[in-house]
Amino acid sequence: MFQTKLRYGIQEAAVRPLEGDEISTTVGQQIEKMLEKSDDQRLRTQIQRALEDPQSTIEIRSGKRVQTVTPGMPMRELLGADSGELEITVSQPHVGG
Amino acid sequence: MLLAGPTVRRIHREREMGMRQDRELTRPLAPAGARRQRLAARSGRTPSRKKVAENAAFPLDMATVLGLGCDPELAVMEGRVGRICRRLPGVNEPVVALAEKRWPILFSGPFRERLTRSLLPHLSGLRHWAEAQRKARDYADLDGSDLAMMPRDTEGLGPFVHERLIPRLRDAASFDEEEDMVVAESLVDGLLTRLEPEFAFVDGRWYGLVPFCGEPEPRQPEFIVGKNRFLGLRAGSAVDALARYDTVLREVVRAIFPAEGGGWKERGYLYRGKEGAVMRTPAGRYFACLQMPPYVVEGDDRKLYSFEAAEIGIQIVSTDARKGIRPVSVQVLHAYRHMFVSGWGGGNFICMPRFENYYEELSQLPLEEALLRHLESARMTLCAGYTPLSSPAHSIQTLGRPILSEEEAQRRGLPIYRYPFRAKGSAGF
Repeated sequence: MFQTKLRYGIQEAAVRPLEGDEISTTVGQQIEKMLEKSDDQRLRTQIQRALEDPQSTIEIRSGKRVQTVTPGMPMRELLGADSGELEITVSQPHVGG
Repeated sequence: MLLAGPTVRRIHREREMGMRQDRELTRPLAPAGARRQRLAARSGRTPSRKKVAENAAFPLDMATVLGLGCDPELAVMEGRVGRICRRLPGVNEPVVALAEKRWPILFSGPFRERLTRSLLPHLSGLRHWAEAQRKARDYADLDGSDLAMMPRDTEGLGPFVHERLIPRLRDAASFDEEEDMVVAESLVDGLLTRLEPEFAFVDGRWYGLVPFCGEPEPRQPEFIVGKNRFLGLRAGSAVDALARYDTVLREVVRAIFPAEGGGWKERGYLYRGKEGAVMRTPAGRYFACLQMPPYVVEGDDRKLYSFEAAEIGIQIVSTDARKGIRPVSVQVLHAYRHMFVSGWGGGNFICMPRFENYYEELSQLPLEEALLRHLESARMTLCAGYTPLSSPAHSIQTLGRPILSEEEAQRRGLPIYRYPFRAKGSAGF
């Protein structure tokens, strides 16, 4: 069992458990499911807009491990242990210089 | 309007040059003086100037720790703390018999819990006080040699850091709550071994209580809890007792914090969690900081460049978010080679251009939230800001960064931030 947290930058959008049959979903589908649980309409819009932008970044933290992922990646490939906390962070594009 | 590259650097330099130190930095002080003055007035005595001065340097007093602000008259008996109420006692209620009067004692819980609860919010201030007694500090280069660049608006920075920023960081880090609880418990242990096991503050006096059987002397203060009786054999003014307790608190704090060992607490940090931290430099500048784990950036040549862990920070120059958060305000706190860091020595700034609406949005937020969002944005700039739209100060190929294979990066568990070769349609700021 994984407790999954969705963030937009440092803002927490939703928290929900990842059910067993959801392991076969993709990152994008999982984020959509989590957005259904979010009460913050503004945050939902920002995340949905970020997901449409190919320059946005999605990071997944599990324990000390951080990975960058794409919406199409299967969740199964990202889950290391049998249980724990999973944090999905969606970030808008940031440019330096 | 877009602020970018050399322009924002120039603006930043110009603004920085306008800043100077007008007055000495202040630290948040518990309102100890006023409370002590009230107690002193009640007992008909005035605390000496020396005592007040000593306590002014220390961020907490025992009146606060004991909760005398809420319960001005209290008794600590049999490990519990209770409030002495000025009303007639009920049947079988614990009482204090003082002169001809009897007042009930309303016990509210374990004394240990009250001490722990009182100490926890003040740990960062106490730690800072203990650290201020030591000289060794790292990151001194953040102060530079030109103290004229110290911010003008320093009033309120200390209270902001201790009362809002650190608690906000602590919200996001249960790990540190556990650590703080261990420290608070150590402080409580230290206090409980040094304070009298039973004592009371009542009627402007302090009483050390002693278990007693038999008939007390007439007019001897007597505290009765069920079948147990205690006599106030030792007595003194509340002010003197609190001054003695304050000394005990200082000694316990002094003993506990150095025992926590070296590492980050030796380096001027007021707080350091898993990611966020708050630092105070030797010259008194406050920084909100963020630790970044190692990562990999894909170059426009499709090679994977490895970057080591970094710590970035933003100086808190004002309690007004509009004054301190700018395109070039986040620094790498140590030497670091990166495309968006102008120089490679410690304390160089990250150039992170944003549209004006970005800063407008931040200015609407509580300052602690704005600082942390700007730091997160800086982190993402370092990790994922290398795009076709960016204008780096240095080419990624000239940094001398190790190049890893995809397999090696994955084996090391490093996140890879890809270069968006085919990305279109995003302004990217």
